[in-house]
Amino acid sequence: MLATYKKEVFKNLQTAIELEHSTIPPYLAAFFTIDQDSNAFSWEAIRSVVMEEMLHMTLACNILNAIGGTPYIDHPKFIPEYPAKFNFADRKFDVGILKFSKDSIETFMEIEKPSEIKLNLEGEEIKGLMRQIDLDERTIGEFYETVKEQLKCLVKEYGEKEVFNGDRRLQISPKEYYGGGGEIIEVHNLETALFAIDVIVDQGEGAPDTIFDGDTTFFGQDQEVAHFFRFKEIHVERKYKEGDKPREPPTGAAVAVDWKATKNMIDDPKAANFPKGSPARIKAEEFNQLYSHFLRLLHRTFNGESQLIVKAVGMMYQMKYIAAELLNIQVPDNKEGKVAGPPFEYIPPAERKQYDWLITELVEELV
Amino acid sequence: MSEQKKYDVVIVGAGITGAIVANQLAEKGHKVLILEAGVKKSFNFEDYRAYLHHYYKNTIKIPNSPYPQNSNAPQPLVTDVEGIKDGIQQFNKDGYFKQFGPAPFQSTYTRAKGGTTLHWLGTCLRMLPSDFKEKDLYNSGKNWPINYYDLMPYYRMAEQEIGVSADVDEQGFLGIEFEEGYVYPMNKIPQSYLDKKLTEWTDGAQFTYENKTYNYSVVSTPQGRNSSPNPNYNNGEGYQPVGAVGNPDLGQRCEGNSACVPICPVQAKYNALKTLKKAVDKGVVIKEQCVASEILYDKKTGEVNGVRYKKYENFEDLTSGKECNYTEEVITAERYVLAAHAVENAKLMLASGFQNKNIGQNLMDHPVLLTWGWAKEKIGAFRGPGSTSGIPSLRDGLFRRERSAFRIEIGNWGWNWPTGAPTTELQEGVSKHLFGKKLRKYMLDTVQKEFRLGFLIEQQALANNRVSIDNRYRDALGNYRPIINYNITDHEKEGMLAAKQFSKQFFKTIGGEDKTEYDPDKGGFIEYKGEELWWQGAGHLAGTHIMGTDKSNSVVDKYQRCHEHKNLFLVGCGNMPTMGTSNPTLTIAALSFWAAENIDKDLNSLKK
Repeated sequence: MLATYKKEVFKNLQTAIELEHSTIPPYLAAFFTIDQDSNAFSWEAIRSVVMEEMLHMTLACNILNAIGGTPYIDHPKFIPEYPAKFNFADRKFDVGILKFSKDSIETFMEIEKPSEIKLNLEGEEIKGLMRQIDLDERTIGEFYETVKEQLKCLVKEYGEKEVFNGDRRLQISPKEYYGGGGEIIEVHNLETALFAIDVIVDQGEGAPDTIFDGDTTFFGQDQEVAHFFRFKEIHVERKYKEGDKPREPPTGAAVAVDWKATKNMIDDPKAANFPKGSPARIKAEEFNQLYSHFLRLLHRTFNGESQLIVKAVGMMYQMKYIAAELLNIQVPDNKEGKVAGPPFEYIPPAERKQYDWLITELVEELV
Repeated sequence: MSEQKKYDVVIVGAGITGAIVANQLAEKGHKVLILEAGVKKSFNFEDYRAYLHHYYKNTIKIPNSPYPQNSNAPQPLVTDVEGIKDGIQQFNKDGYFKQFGPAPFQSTYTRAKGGTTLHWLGTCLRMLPSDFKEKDLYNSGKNWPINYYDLMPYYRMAEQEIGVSADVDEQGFLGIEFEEGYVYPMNKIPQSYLDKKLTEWTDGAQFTYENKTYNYSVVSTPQGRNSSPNPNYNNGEGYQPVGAVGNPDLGQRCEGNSACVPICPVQAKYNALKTLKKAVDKGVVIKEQCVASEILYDKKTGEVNGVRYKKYENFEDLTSGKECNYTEEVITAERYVLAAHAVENAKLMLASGFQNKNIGQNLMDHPVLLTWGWAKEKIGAFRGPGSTSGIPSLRDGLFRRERSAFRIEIGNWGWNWPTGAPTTELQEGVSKHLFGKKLRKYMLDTVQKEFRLGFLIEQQALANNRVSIDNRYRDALGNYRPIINYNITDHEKEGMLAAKQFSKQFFKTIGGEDKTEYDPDKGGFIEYKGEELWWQGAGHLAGTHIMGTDKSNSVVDKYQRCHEHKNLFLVGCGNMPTMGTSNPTLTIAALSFWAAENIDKDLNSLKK
């Protein structure tokens, strides 16, 4: 029966990986449309959040691998179709690939909004009754709370050894993560799995009744406000300060946000919407090719070739450069003078092209 | 003690040496104040970003481009060395240095919080054991009063503080030893594609010169920039890379921005702000915009009893010619440390009427002979840090009796240093009326095969190469401008000659095309034994207050304490009697740890 129950947890953790990933393209798009100079504060805030989303995705993969599951990254349904529908317990909203604006920051706040009502699952009898998590009925925090309960329950029933029987070589090690708060946790038992989930939830929503994330407590790092509050700071153009309350606006120093200093990117760019043969179309397709190759590389990274993560970093830089090129291309016949942008669309393996900038490992695979 | 002093130690200069001494002494519970001449800067990343902006806007990209000129604490600029006219070297008369030649002194430093580590490349080579006893071994240069093994534990501390990336297995050449089981804090920075190709092309080949053969082995260079931490560091404790000051998530790994000199945009490269921040968190006070102008001391006992400094509120661009207001103050402490850089330390002591004749003498640099050319195929120039490997085989040997040793640095940024590439190629392309795709192809075809070699020539410490002062030459605050007398000897020219021969053979060996061509009108050009040579400064200013056994041959003793002023310690490159062929920052960082230990002991004996 363990195998059947595990499958339910596998599915939830796969959902977790997809959920964490689904926020990355929208955050990246906003990030790419501003520059470090005119919007230093926002640039830095979004950069740090997106780095931590990558951490979360990695943590979810580590947990899944630890219990013997398989992360699927290079998969047609892995990237949601933007604008994606996010259905949480208390709110439903669309998340698109949008330029940096008050609107997109508001959407980001919606994504990261802390659970208003904490579900008390303690003592709830769920033994032997694995529930299918439908995220549509929960906040992200509640969703992860359920995964934690499921893991605890399995361990209680079958013992840690049976549950955490994954190949330890599949774990991504802490030394591969940098540039953001938190740390990669190598998961090999219940304690590390629960800790990994706490890090994910805490960096996003913050611990109850505080604006700060747990990086200082968990890892001895500098104090940092959780994602929701980082976006809130941009939105109201003011920083939080020590002593500020989660439900009240920040009262710290004012920060400069230049809402106009942004690339005027078209909403939800799609390669197929640009005329065939146009520079926008060619670059957009190139971006999609790159992103799909990149997912392939990540898939391999999380499935036994962890050393490839170093190469993935290089591809992320390539992504940034192609996005920058796209953001300099006018959309043909667009009356508002909008520019193209990165579409983040999936291209199946059979349709993937070889490029001279493609890393050797992927070229060999194509041949 | 007659009166209670507010500070135990006053340090002049907030560069790497001052920062290390301050941080170490604060760690031991001493009260420390640093006087910094540069413009006031916070530890917020915004202030660092202002340097970046200044650099982007500046049309001339030289080492001091990001760091604005300040009339109250002026800096020398590489552009102050002008061309050769009618056989005579010309200098910018408004430059900070007053140079009397005959050879140009082409190196500079930065007068700002963080010091010259703001623009250093980050090379962290230890010196060779033989470099410490050159006089004994080769009857050339000088001996140190300490040896490599004395300094070994302090090298470790320096490598930890800076966060050096290197693989220890590759670094034990020419007598360099490490403690059993030692590893560097971080794994080596990946070597460039160029380094790998050169390794491949020189495999098994040898260089013969004066009946001796040397190998070409390309060895990765230890660097003060963040790479992946080594989990085995410190007996398996590992190492946490230090990111940007005021933005710690940034710069935890080198991103290959290829702008290390003059400024790393993310601070993946170490700079002294990182150590200063730690020191300030421990209670160290930095008084900024305070230029030390005189060391006050008892003429009989030599005991220092204060530092006079000029505190300014506003500053002007160096070229404005306007005078600035300042107030004079004196600060006192139990112990004093000069950490203001080789030239500034010497200048300050001379301005204070110090009597030791060695002060200002023995000025050294690494004259860098540059050669450049094309590889036989594209090698991906202009990617990654400025240099990731070198060829160490000619750094030591009995030949040092006759001529200078040199280290060969392999440059990753094409011909940037010698010719100003890739801007020059772009201008050429445009002048050929190329544009669009054709221009891009032209750029790729020319630039992507480029590389250069830099031969860091060891220079002997000589009395006539020196810093002095003269009443006629002063800056806006009335402080002295350094007067520089400088020349290079046949010993060094012979080294350059050998380097040039090496370069010629090297290009043949790798099947490349030597495109080295020197402009006889440019500063640093010489002809020697029928060979044209051209050298530049390395920014390794050293030797102006060397250490030695007594006051007849030196300014400080092996404890880094002035022979004649027992409560005054000097730190920095000025203390080095030889520099060998190592970039000096790691060694002066190690010496600063050693100095801090001695000052701590000294203060403790006082407090008993």
